[in-house]
Order: sequence, then structure tokens, then C-alpha cells
Amino acid sequence: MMKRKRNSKALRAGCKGKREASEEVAHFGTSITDVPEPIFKNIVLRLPIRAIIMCKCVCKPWRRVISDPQFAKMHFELAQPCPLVRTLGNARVARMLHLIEPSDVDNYDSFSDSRFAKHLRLNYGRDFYLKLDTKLKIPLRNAEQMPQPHNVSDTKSRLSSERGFKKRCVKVRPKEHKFQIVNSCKGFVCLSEPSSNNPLVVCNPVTGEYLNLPGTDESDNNTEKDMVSCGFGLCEETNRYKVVKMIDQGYFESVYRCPITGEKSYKKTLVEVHTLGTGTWRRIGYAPYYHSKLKFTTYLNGFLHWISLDFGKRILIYCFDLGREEFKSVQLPPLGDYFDPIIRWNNQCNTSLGVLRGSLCLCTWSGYDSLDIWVMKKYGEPKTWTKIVSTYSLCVERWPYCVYQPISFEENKGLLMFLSPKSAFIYYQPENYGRWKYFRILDVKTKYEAIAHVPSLISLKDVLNGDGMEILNINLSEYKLLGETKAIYLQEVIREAETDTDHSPSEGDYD
Amino acid sequence: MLYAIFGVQTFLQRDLELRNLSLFNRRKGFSYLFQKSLLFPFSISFFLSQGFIYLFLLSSRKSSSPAAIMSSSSPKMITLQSSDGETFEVEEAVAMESRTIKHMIEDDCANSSIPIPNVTSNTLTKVIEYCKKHVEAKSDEEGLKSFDAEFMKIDKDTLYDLLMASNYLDIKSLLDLGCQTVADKIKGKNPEEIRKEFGIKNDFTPEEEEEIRKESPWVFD
Repeated sequence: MMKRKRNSKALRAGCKGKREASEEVAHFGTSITDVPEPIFKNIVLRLPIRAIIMCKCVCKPWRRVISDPQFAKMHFELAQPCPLVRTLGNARVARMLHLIEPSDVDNYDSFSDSRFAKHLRLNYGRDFYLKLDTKLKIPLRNAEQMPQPHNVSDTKSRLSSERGFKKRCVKVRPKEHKFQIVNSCKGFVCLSEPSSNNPLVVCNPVTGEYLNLPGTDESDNNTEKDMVSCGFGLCEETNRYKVVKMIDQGYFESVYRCPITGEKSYKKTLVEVHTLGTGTWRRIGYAPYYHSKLKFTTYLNGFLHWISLDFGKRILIYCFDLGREEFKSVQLPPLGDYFDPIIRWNNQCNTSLGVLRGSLCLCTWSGYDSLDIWVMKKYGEPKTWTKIVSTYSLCVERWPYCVYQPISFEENKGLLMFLSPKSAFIYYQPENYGRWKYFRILDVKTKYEAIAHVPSLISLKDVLNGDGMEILNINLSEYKLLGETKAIYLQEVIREAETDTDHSPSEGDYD
Repeated sequence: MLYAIFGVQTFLQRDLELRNLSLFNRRKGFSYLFQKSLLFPFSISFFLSQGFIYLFLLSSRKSSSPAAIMSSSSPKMITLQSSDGETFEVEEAVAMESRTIKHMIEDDCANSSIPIPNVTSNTLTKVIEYCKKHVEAKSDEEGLKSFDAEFMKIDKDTLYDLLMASNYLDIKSLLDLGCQTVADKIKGKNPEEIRKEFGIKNDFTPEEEEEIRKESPWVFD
């Protein structure tokens, strides 16, 4: 009885839809589907990722154009790095990554500066929020250990499924199912096990595909904190993706001299490399000594980089050549004598590494209590380290003192940086009198992390050339986790007074 | 008339010389300054006056002969013919906004009227209006922006025709403007709304729809 009703309802809905659509089609002379493909591609390439995925679901011709690997390549060439935001809360598995697209920032920027917005803010105290709409998913660790949906005999859940809700909320333990993000390279993200940082998965959050990395005997058994440092990157000569991991194995019997720093140490760190598409990890030797945990994994031009603190609290940039599979160090910019890499009150390193405008970038606090951003203009030539921003020379308000992570600095746009301890963003426009905007993620309970990611539609299948590796899709799972539908908002914090009034218009000035 | 102008010119020159001489004399040697002060303002005022004389002559006699120094004073007209037979006369500079027409002119195929088979007269009128404005007000960015915004307040049929015309005629700025306008109409809408906006039929079967729903679930949230 119920089945028949449901079918007829669907039929009626389908027919109605068709009639309506055909009426609408008859109404217009030319249709957008008559527009030739190159123009259509031109239009779609201007859209943010969220809109492109919507367009994919509109009709068959559009789906065909957007699913084409050539189109994905064209799109990736034009794409810019965006922050990928994730909650760090311990109670959550944090499967959702929120992407802040450049068009969101542009729209907000132009809106919040408008006279209307200022008027509302002054007279009605209305605050504006930027809603992070683009949500991408990463897989669950140990997904096979998840409780199966149809096995749960909860009456509540049965009722909700009869009412037509597709998925039910399932409670999971983050300890068993959470992933940690290592780094992003060419649109793909590498995920690792949180406690040991052992790399487990490479995925493309936009298309929802992921690939499990093979396990090794050595690293599977360890549960010690941060025993592994790793990175994921593309070897440009052979066009193969590789994952590198450095496993802490204790100590050597005799002294080992580090080829990079020249220091003598007993620490033994095994290096293994896995090329995506092969089935195993290859041992390539021992890593040069590094004192503290390697942080800020950055991929650039076929090299992986990390920052490490030395005995004498000096900063070192470690670099791994993915082609030759060997380590070397990168010479630092001239940071000055008063430079101190440690934030005294929390013993954190105040220097970070990233990529801005295609060049390696180092953000650090100078001895004069100001933020310096150095960029190596020509890769491989340390003489070309140039300081592109220094808040010391800016006459406006002091920037907050914490760790800054560079996200992007595109042409004609501002510099976007993420302040990890405060879960906030700073958007700085050098042309606009050096003014900066401060956006805070609206959440009092937990902190957030962000990485710079270039969203890409390129499929893992194309990248691996069909090497027989099993590529799985995240979205085929049926679960919905608690708190996943919660929206994240960015709130602009309007600072009360500008210290240097010559550079900025006062609040009463509407021009 | 010429003599009068020449007279004024020499008077002005002498005045300038005298002024400069008195200035420089205080600081440097006489002969060096004499030459410098004479030559510099003399040569500039000479060329400027020649230029003004020529312009004046041309405008008064309305001749179309090519000028010696200032050559852009007489506009060359190009005839364009739309697909439905209507002809439009435009200035060369305006027609050159289209790279297709520009190549035709450079290859010397544009002696009589240029046929533009794919574009109707309505669309061609709009295209010419756009090109004219962009040639006239080239430096005025704010003005162009507001013109573009007003220009794009058209119905969808005209918009698609404009897109295809600007693609055929290879007018990059108009093509970019049109594509951006369509992109702005797509942004922020879910698939059903996009279909409604553009009058697109949903040609997916229910099974395919289910598959799509699984692939990107948050699209339908």
C-alpha cells in the first residue's frame, strides 16, 4: 500500500517537474546550454568550488564538462591557496574542513566597507559575520570499526529513519577515529594518526576520494607521542607523489655526525619513502639530527621543508629533495642579533614556514617586537631572501604577538594570515594605508587550525595512472556525526581606536 | 592668420627668453645659459605652435588629408554589416577593439564593408555601444565600472547573444564582463535554483540523482 503511494507521488512530481521545465525552456529563445563550451568553461572557471559542485548537479551536459579531467587541470592552474579550517576540539572527530574561498573574502570586504554597513554598525550595533559555507569531508580513521547503522536497534533511530531522515547521528570516539592533517600539496591532503603522526591517508577533500597508505611493521606498534615526522609532496621530475616519514628509533651505539648541522648525536631516525602507486615503503637511510619536533611541513617545487629548533634555540629549516631523496638545509634570512625564536610565556616557537606567491616564506618576530615576513624570491638562492612586510615600519596599531601562519598573498589582494593560538585571521592590505582586518572564528569552546590548501577537482585516479591502488570515496558512508552540521562563522572584530589617525578615516567619515 | 600666430609666438618666445635669462644669470655663466635658455623654450614653443597651427588649419578647412605631425585628428570610418543586412559605420579605433576586425584591417581585407555573419543588428548595436564607451572613456575607471554595471542589466537572450558575439569578434573585455555576469547569477544558488534561473531541464534519472546526492551530500543540506 505504502509502496504504491510513494511511487505515484514520485511519478507525479517527476511529470510536474518535466512539464514545468519544458514550459520554461519554451519560454526562452536561446538557452545557456546553447552557449559554446569554451565560453561555458570561462564562466564556470570564475566560480568558487562550492558553486562548481552545484553546477555539476544541474544537468548532464554541464556534468560532463565539469567532470572532464582537462577541465580539472584548467581549474587547478587558476586556483589560489585558501585556508582550510578545522576544529581542534578533543571531543570531536572533526571530519569537516571548512574552506574559505577568495570570493567570500572579496564579497565580505566590499560589503563591510560600504557606507551602508558602516551606518548599520554605528547606529544599530549590528555585527557582520562571514559564514563558512563550503564544507569538505575527510575520511574517518578505522572506519571499519564503526557501528553499522542497521545494526543499531534503538527505537529512536528507527523512528527517525521512518520519518525520512537519511542519516542518523552516531557518536564516535575521537581517540580511535580522528585524523591529524600533515600538509597539503597540489590539491591533495595527507592525513596521519594523531598520537604518533604516522601518515595513513592521502585524500582530495573536494572530490571525496582517498587512498590508504600501506602500513609498516616498524611504525604500526608505536604509540609514543610524535615518534614520526612526515611530509607529502610531488617529485616533479618523475611526476610521482611521495610520502616521507622519519621514525624515531632510539639511539645509535656510537656517535653519528649529522651531515647538515655537523653536530654529533646518538639519536637514530630512520627514513622511509613511499611512492604513491607502489605498495611498499622503502628505507633510504638515516635522517640528520633534529632536536625538537619538525613543524610547519611545507611543500614547494619538489622539496619538503620543516622548521626545527636547535639546542641553542636556533631556528633551522630542513629540506628534503623528493627527486634525489636526500636531506639538506636551507640558509635562513638575516634575522639579526636580537632575534629570539621562543615565546617566553608558553615556550612556543614564534616562527612559521609557508608559501606565498609561489615562494618559500618565513614569518617571524624580530627583536624589535614586530612581525617580519621574509620571502625567498628565487627558490634555491638564499641571497634572495627579502623582507616583504615588517610591522615595525607600519605606523598603525600593533599586531598581536603570537604565531602567524601565512596562507596567501595574491596579486591585487591582501595578505591573509592565520593566528593559531587565537583561532583568528588577519587580512592585511598593504595598498590600503596598511590597514588590517581581524577575523575571529566564532567559537568560545574550542580552538581551530588552518592550513593553506589549493582546492582542486583533479581525481586521484588520474594522478596515479591506474596503478591498481584502491581509491575509496568518503561520501559513500552513511553516517552523520554529532556537530557536523554546525556552521562556522567568522566575525570581524572592529578595533576601537586606530592609533595613527592620519592613515585611516575616522568613524564619522562615510567616504 | 598664420602671420598673426607667428607674431604671437615670437613675442611669447622673447618673453620666455628674457625671463629665463634673468633667472639663470644670477647663478651660472652667461653663454651657457644663453644657449640653454634660448634653445629649450624655443624648440618646445616652436613645435607646439606648429602643431596648433596644423590642427587649426585642418579643422577650419575640413580636409581629410593625412596630417604631418598629428595623425589621429581625422577618424577613418569602417563599415560593419550584420547578419540581417543592416550596416553600421564606426570609427576605426572603435572597430579595432575587436581583434577579429583588427586583424582584418591589418590584412587589408576591410576596404568595403566587413560582413559579420553570426551577429544580428540588435546585438551588434550593443557591441558597438560598448566599444565606443570603452574607447572614449579609457582612463576613467570609475565611470567605466558604472557603465559596465548598467550595460549588463539586460535579459538573458541578449546576454547569450552578446557572449557569442564577443567570442566571435574576440573582444576580451566584453567577453570577461559577460562571463562574470553569468557567473554572478550562478553563485550562491543550489542546483534547483540554477535550473529555474536559466530554464534548464533536469535530465537526470532518479537513480542518477541518488548517486549525485551521495557524491556531494552537503549540496542538498
